[in-house]
Amino acid sequence: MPWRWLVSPLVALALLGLWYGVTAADLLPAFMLPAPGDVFEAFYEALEAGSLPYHIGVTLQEVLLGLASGLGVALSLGYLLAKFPLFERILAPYIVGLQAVPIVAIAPLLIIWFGSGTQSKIITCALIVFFPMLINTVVGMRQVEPDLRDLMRALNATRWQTFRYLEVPAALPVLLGGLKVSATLSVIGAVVGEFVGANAGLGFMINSARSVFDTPTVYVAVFTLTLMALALYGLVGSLERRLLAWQRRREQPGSFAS
Amino acid sequence: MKRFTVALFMLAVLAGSFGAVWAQDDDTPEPCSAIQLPEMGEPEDLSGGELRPLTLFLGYIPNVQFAPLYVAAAKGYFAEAGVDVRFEYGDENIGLERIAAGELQFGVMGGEQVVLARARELPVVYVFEWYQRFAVGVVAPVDKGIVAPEDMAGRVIGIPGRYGASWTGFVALLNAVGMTEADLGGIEPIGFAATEAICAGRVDASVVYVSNEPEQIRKACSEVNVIPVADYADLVANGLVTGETTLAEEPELVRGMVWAFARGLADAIADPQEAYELSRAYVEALDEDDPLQHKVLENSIALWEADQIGYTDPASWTFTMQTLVDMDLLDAPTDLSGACTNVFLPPMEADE
Repeated sequence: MPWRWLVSPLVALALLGLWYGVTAADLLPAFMLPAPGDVFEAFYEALEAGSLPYHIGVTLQEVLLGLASGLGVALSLGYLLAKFPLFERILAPYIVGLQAVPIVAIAPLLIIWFGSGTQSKIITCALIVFFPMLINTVVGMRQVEPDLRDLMRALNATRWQTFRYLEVPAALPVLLGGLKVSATLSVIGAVVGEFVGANAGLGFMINSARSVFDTPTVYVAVFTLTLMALALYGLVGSLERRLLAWQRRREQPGSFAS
Repeated sequence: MKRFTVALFMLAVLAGSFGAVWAQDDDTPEPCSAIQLPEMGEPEDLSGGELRPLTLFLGYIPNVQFAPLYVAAAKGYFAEAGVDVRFEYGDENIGLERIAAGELQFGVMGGEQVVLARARELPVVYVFEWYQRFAVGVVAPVDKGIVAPEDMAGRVIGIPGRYGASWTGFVALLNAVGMTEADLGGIEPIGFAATEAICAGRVDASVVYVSNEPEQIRKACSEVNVIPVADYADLVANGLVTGETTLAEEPELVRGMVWAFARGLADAIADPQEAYELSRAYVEALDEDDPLQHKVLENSIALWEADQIGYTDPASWTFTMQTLVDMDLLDAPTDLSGACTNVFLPPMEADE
């Protein structure tokens, strides 16, 4: 239905109108809520000066490398935990414990251990994406129908064939669900690292702008981070549509399931 | 003839430019000069009546460094001003924005933050200078041999980040001795983890708050040398800040807060042991006799002492502003005549 495509832009326009109305009526001081025009001007200035593309590049690099590292470890470990329950019984308390550690509390230590460069941000990012992806991997692998496993055994399928033609396709919807959550969380991970100690990146840009009360630039960085998270989410969504086309599922009403 | 005319014209333009700059300098109002003492009655002791709840924002965590305020609260000085004070701790920028928005009435903030805020039209005013010396400095283990700013050449220096009072102080220190970032071996943003970074050998020296972090490093791993920024640059440090609305509508309250702060500060300087004891009611983790915290208080007192408690020097505001302009944190000099004032200070004899 074509109107469905219009809903999101219309909501965005309505929010923009509301924002403009609030600032035009001086309901809030500019240092709390700058006018959309001021934010656009700050955006243009940062773009023209090259600072915005530079900071985007730094954060995006951290996000992608952090996401890749976190996913790599989570997928491997998750598969092992799903396949070997004893392994899970031994490791589960440590993994849950790791998840319970507030990342903002250990981020300063990561800076000390790994330096203030990209490495510590990648690790922060990887730690944040690790747990949701691990849980989804375990759940995805365990939801494979036992009958189908029996069938693969009856067909004398090798371990690799079972993995490639049964386990991965069956777990894919859950894995991609985890990937969607991880992709958006990875942006937060990079920014947390940049907040603690950095020379570049959108988190650094926010901190610098905040220290001089440059609220429009703070908004520019925040919107850019939001767009980055949305783009990553959309990318995983399109990947999902391609990879799960074979399922011929009926189109779901909400975008979260699409 | 034509060449002579051009030369004359150029000379006239040059003279005009100099004249304009000169006139501009003359026209720039003196910092802290705009606020006049409003009409007020004699101060009264309001502690007998119903006290007004008031939040005082402090830009850190509960700490013995806030002893003068704890003393003023414990000894009833704020109550005499009719105030039941409650301390709230957090991010200094947020506190300053909340004061500007009228959500809070008072906070303890850095002078350079007030300059930056005023440049963005945040209506905040600095009414009492608490720290007479800027509390930032560079600390290095003694074996690094860094005892003067020039010794930082070629060394890796840790900084909390490229923003805030510590960064401003560090740049002012480099400027004061004619050094630039290029003279250093590198700058490492380490957050507020100077102790860990120094003890782990990740940096050669680090920018710190001189009253507490050098003591923590001494306790953790090494004897240190400290280079205080205040020895080289007179930046405006922390003081009591209020909003323009409070200043205009409730000058008695502002005077009451300033006087209470001044009395607490004078008492803390005069009797550090009492200040330490009274602080324990406000700082949960402060042990009865912690040598490290006693030393932190002692170091802090050295930064508070003044000929006239609370007095803020207009020249230090001009210097702070110029430093921020040099750092490109301010586009141009800004009018600081209404940014600060000394008019609410108690008379000199009241300090004794």
